[in-house]
Amino acid sequence: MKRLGLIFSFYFSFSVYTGLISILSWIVVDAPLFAEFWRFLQLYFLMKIASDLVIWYYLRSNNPTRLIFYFNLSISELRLFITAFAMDILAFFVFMFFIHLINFLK
Amino acid sequence: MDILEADSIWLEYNGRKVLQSIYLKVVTGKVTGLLGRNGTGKTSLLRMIFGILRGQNQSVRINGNYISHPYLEKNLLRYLPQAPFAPPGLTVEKLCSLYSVSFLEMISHFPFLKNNKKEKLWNLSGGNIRLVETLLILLSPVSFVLLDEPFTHLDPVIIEQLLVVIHEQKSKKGIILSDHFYRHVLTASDNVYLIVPGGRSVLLKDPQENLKSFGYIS
Repeated sequence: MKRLGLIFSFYFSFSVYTGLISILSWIVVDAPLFAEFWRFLQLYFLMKIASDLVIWYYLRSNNPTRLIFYFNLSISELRLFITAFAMDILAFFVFMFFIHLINFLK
Repeated sequence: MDILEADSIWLEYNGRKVLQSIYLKVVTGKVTGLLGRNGTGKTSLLRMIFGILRGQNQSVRINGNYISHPYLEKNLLRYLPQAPFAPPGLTVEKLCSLYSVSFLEMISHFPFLKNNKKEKLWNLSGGNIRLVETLLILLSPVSFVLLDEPFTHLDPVIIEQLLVVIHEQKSKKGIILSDHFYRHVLTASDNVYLIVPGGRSVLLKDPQENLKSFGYIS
């Protein structure tokens, strides 16, 4: 749990950017909902992989020393980024769940 | 007593040999000094021992057992890099909690940090950030700590107190100490290695004399 909290704090440091990328990409394709949303997911995952790789490269090359904070807690770079990106996708799905719920109740 | 050995360390960048035929032994209960001129590969060596830099060859052993990525072993070792590494948005108290370091122990050595307990790191001065980060590593409940330039940005009086803490902590762990303040390194260390140009390590028998003969000091 402590590790998960730590990785969450790592994710939180760039969550605004990744969250905005997710939401903007959804808006750009006319904010699909319900059946159309599932068709959008394929594009979303491709875009997400690409943008997350860019963020990984950026964090790695701009301030690699910051990662040592997590290495000192026996968290590998792979685990750190994959878990953080999974949190990012989960956050988008939670957001979309509420958007769907609001539209469903309308 | 635990023994950390770094052996057969070989590192090249674009065909340029940085480290070759390195052997270094660290024992819990002792401070091992690591000296070398700029660019001789001290930081690279520490990163290789920590397990985050892979060279052409390396062997890091704990009590004779090879470990490929020492930093992934729980409670084995921690590393203080030269540059700030802790997230600046976390408070000193939170950092202590995450690293299982007692804040009370921290302020027992440096009482002036008492007022910084709830402060986020970005509100501290550069010197205090360095001190807190150094203490986070030094007071960690691990068997070995690797300190890369811990005295940088610190006042002389703080360095003196830090040397006391290093002396106290060595009863619980093995410490590798690398810094350009070589007098402090010599004072604190039980053994001293010098990385000479060409990337070889030399265990110094008579540090003052050897440092002169290798041209590290005049």
